Amino acid sequence: MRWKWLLLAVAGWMVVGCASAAEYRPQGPGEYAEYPSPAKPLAVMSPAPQVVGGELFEEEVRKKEDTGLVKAGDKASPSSVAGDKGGQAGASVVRKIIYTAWFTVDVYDVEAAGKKLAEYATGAGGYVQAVSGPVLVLRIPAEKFEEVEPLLKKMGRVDDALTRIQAQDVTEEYFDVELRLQVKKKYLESLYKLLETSGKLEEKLAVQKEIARVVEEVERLEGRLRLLANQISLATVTVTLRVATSGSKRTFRLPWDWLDGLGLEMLVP
Amino acid sequence: MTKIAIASIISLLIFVAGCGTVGLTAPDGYAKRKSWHYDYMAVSTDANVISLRLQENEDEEKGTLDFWTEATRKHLTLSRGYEAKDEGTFKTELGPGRYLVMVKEHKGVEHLYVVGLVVTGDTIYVMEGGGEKGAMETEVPKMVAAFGTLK
Repeated sequence: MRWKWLLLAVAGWMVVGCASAAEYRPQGPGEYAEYPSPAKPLAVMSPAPQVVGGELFEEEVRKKEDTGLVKAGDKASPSSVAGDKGGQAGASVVRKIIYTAWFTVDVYDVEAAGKKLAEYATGAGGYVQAVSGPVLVLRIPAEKFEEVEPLLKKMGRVDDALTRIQAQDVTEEYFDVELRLQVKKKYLESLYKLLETSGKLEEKLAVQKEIARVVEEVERLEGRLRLLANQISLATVTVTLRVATSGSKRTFRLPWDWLDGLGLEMLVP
Repeated sequence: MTKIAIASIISLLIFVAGCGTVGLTAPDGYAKRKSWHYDYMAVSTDANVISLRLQENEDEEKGTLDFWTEATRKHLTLSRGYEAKDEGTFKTELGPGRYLVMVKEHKGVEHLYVVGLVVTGDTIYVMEGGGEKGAMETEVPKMVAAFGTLK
């Protein structure tokens, strides 16, 4: 059994080295407050044999959360989120926000309006995620999210009672996952090194088992990070189109007859 | 008495002359055409049409330019199936104007339609232009410029 404790102690020591090297680094200056390195080496923090399966790292991550790595800031506009280049030195963190909206629009020609919306989405750098009858789910780059409502108002009557716009701040979760991922990757590297230096078969098997577990965790975190990044960069806009003259609750009609004399029907032969 | 009669005749002539000048100058390449529906109408050889119609601002609470622009936009988009493409402002001798550019399929072909409004107290000046999209794309700015010649 002694070799197991020894193995774990060595792994733990490497982890401490890794943890200090795996400091979260901002993409831009001043993106967040300075992130403190672990204050104590592992050997002082806790007896090495108690470190099992990388749980120490999770504890480290929790400690880093407590230091206020992610600072609360003002709500960012979609454009500032999409820019995501980091702010000025000393500025607060760039917020990670997921924008989601639901609109119901009365239009004269549902098919044509749907086609126009699809063209807009692709032209804006997004795409149509789903179409179900008169309901379209559009993915629009976050920086263009604010264009959508004015566009819909141009196309027809937006039913304000059914309009919902949601901004979900996932800054904390995003940085948390990113940090966990970095730490896990460093831990994985240390395990691979350990595998190379391990002599006995039992040792190798134990390390390989741990590697498999950490790889699985890294993949899970990478998947979550990808999903968050996708949701942040592309707003989800669900548009329900209704026929203005028959599908809506009322037929739009203004009481000035001269308006009926407007238009191509009378003007163009 | 004679002086009063002469003054009255002169006033009447000035009034009549003033009435006669209400109109706009169509872009180059348009020929004026009589119409029972419009106070002024001109057509190009590409079948683009520009027109002017005077409408009484009849309600007691006179609608403003913003009011009638919004009413026109909603009427065309919500009741008539037009799709708003663009909008803007222009100036005339009678006051400021606003225009809306819209698109609609007409007789199976996509058309562009531009409507300009100027509101002066009791009168709404309604200016319209339209034609097939291909022939109208370059005409819209010219038509808006023509709306600005309203006097």
